[in-house]
Amino acid sequence: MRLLPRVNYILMPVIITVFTFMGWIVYEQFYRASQTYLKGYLEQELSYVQQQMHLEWNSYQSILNKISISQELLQYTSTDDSRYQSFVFESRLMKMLARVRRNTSQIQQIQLLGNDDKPLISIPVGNPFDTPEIDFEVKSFLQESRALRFGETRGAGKSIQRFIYPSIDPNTVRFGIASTIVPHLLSDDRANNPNSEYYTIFLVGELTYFSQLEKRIKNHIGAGVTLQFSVMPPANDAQELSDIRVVDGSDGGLVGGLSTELFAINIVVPKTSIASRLSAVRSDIYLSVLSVILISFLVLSTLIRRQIISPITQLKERVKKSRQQQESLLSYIESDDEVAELNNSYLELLNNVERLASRDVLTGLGNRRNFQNTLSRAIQRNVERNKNIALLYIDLDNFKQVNDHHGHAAGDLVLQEFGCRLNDVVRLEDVTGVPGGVSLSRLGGDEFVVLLNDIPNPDVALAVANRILELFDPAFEVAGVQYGVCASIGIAISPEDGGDATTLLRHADAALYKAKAHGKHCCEFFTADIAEAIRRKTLIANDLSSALVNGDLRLVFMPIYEVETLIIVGVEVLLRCPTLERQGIGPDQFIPIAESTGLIRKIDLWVLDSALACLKCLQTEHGFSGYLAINISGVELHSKKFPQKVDEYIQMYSIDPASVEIELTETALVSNTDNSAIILQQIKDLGLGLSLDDFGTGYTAFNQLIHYPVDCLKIDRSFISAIGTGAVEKAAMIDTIMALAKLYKLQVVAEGVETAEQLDYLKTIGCARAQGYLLSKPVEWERFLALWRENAKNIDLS
Amino acid sequence: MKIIKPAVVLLILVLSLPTSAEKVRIYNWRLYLADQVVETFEKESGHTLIQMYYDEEAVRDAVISSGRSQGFDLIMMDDSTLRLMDRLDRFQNLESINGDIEGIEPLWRKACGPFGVAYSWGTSGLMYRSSVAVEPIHSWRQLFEVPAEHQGRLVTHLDHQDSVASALMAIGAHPFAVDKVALQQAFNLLQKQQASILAQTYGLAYAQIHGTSSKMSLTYGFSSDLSELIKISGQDDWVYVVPEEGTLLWADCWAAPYGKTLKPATVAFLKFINRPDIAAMNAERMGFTTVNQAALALVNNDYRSNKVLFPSKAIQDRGSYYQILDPESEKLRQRMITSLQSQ
Repeated sequence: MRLLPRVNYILMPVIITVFTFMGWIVYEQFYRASQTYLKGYLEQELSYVQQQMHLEWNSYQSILNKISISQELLQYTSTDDSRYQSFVFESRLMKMLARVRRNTSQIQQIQLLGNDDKPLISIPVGNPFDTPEIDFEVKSFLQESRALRFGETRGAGKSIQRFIYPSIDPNTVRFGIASTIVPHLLSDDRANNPNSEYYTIFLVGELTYFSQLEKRIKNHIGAGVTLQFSVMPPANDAQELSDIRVVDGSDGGLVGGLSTELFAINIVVPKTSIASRLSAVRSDIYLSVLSVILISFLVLSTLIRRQIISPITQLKERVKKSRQQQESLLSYIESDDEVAELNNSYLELLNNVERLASRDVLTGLGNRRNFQNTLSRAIQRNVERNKNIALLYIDLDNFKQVNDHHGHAAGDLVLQEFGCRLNDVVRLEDVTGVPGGVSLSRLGGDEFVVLLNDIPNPDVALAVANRILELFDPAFEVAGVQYGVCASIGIAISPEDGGDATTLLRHADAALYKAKAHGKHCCEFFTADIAEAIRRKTLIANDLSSALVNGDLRLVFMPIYEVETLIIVGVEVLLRCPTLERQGIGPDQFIPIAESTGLIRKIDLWVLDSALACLKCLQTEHGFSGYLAINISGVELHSKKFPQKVDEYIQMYSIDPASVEIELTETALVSNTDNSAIILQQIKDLGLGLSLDDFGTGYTAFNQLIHYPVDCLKIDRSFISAIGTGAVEKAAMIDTIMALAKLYKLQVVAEGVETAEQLDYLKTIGCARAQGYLLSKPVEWERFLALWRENAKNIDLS
Repeated sequence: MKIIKPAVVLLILVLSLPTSAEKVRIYNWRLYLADQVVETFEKESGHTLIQMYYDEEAVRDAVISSGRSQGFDLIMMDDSTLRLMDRLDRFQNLESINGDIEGIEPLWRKACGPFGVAYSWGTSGLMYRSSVAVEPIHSWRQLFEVPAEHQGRLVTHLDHQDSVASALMAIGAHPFAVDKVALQQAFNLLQKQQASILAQTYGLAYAQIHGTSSKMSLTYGFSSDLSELIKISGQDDWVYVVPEEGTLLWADCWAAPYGKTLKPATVAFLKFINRPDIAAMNAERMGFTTVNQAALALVNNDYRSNKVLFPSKAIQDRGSYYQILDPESEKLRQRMITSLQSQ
């Protein structure tokens, strides 16, 4: 199971259990407290009832006593004259009894019974025409044991009897209290004379305590409470027992009661009543528990997720991605926790594995596998970026002898040492010109390979190879021992020597074989042409450099004509190097070489200097009114100092800048456009003109044209030569260029005009200027002067 | 010799002194003995008369039977109760005094018996205010089925003899009938009466308490009550009528409670009260019918011609004397009254 669900599965039950348990405990406490309180309450109520009843019984007793000893009763009972008795005494007695009844709210009936229980007086009278009858309850009482009336069973006797009677209506309880009197005797004396005439007085009434108690308790606790009133059977031993007891019921409720010798009150408070009192508490507890469960679950879950699971999951993701992409997305985590430790350990593990997998154990250089990957990747990148890769396959010559003569330990040492030195040599940036684009590998045995990425030209590879070879000059010394090993290097250049890893390696191997065949301790390129080209390039560069130093450079002049009038309006200066010229190498060859070596800077400055000097001469001595066009290398656009230099020369020769035009090839503008634009602008700001040479061959976009402060477009010769040949697109290009020039208000000069047809065509399309062999070849200084003089005459004439 | 002279002087002094001043305690109805009579007696005899009053015979009887009567020298008793109490030796024999007094009508002397000295006699009837009454009261029925103008203005006491008797007379029965059916009807009438009552007390006593502010307009009373009622209420439109169904004839007698020897003062008072001039003055003043024939000769014409005090023979013929019935009947009447009292 996933971690997060697992956490949830663990958390939920535990939280629910814990909080439910707590909630239950809290509820139990409340319940218990409620129970205790109710217990106290019931005890209090019962005690109150008990006291009240006690007081009331006492008062009834005293009333009975009062009646018993009252004069009215005494006289009534002691008179012989029945007429007098009925005329006088009975009314008095009746009045007294009626008064007693009126004054005592609970007494409802008073009855006086004579001897043999004959009813004499009954209050209230009710219907006076009915003879007094014994009250129903009194009758029941009389049926009880008579002996109790005189307490025959006991010594002193009890003159006052009490009884409680449940009435037919279950909500009322009737009570009675009776006293037997023998009028002529004192109460103490009665026991001695059980057979004397006696009268019995009954007070009968209704006990409201029970219903009041019931109402009160039900109001307080709830309707679920049951109260039961029961009459005790008359006990033989009439002790004054009165017992209040409230205990816990079997169902968790309360059971209690008051029991006296006359009656018992039983109260049952069911658990539901107590519980219903707590219903508000219960719902509060439910809510609290629920919300606490939810909140703590959410909080805990979130915290765990964020603090524990999330880091783990993230680590897992990173590891997974690392595996998928074969490169490590893991990075060192600085934390102190287990996840960080795991992360770091894994990282180290990966690194170790990676190292182990890709490193050669002995030298610490890359191993074969690593090399294969690196090479493949490099070739892939090379294709994308259109750069060269150089593969240097190095084999140590005479290595076997080291092992044989000095032992394998020494051999290993040599290899190790070579690896180190190789590393040092190769990684020098100034050698390669490209930082970090190198990888070294040991393919096995004594074979090493150096991969150079993104080299600008094969020369770099050669330089590196030479450096490596120098390591073995004069011998390879390791720990004081000189070993007669040296290296043979085979160089293969991609893409020329192979577009895939296998081919490249194979060719490099072949080059190595070639080197070995040449006598070892040397390097060989796979492609002879490359080597040759390098050689040639070096020669030319040297010659050019010498020519510059020796003043062997010359300028030639190519006039630019106005097409309509064939008037010379300007002149382009071109560079010649006689030395190279004799070898058949023209500026189209040596200028690129000069650019690659950086010599072009010096050459450009020489050109500038010389050209401006010529112009000065032309203007001052020969009245030249046209402009001078000077070709400048695109390299100058990266030189911040160039405009400054131009300005220096302008100032030096005091030339009007407007009469000077700088020519740049369209292609030179392609790279590093921003800086180029700035420098161009600076040149323009000096007041010079600017024209794009070989226009139409580059990739200038229209909006780029806006960037450059160009004045003139020089249509490339290829388009001009296409006129009349039926190459429609090329011809159409001229129209397009014309339209473009018109749009941007630029001058147009057509280059390489060689036929009259071409010239005519240019005339028709409105191209203003042209130059070419038809009009004039590039000529020497003297010749140009002559041309100018002729032309000037023509100007005067026209 | 020397001792004799002072002794004789002392004796003469003692003998010449008037008899020592005694107190005569009398338990009587209110307004039954003229103040002037009292003053005169006290002046002439030097004795003091102390009167205490009762308003209900039952109360008086309770006092007597409780033994408290010992505190009195004379108690005014009605003839029937006195005769009843004869048997119980409650009172002293006054025959000797009766023998000394002349002029008491033999009828009434016989009524009071040997234990009483007759004082007055009369009828029972209804008194009402003529200014209130729409029509004159003429029947006992009207005591129970109270006319509208007297509703809430009836004052009457509940007595087991008077009330029951008047109710019985109201239904045309004998006032001392024992027939249960009649008594039932009488009881019903008494119950009906309850709704119309202003106060359940003796009318004259009510007037005594409320005086001129008394709202009473109809009441049960005795012939001797009228003049006093008019006097104390200030309402001179009161009229006494003997209802047509009949009336109860009563006599009041002085009685001396047993246990005390008759004081000379008491004897003197009894003789004094029966002196014709005194008796006449007393009767005239208090408006009751005197039993003293000798006094009758001295009364004024107004008194003598008072129809209330001296009812016609016809009325007397309609009258019945008070009786003590058998115990069961008495008990029944007691119960009736008790029942009504508790309602």
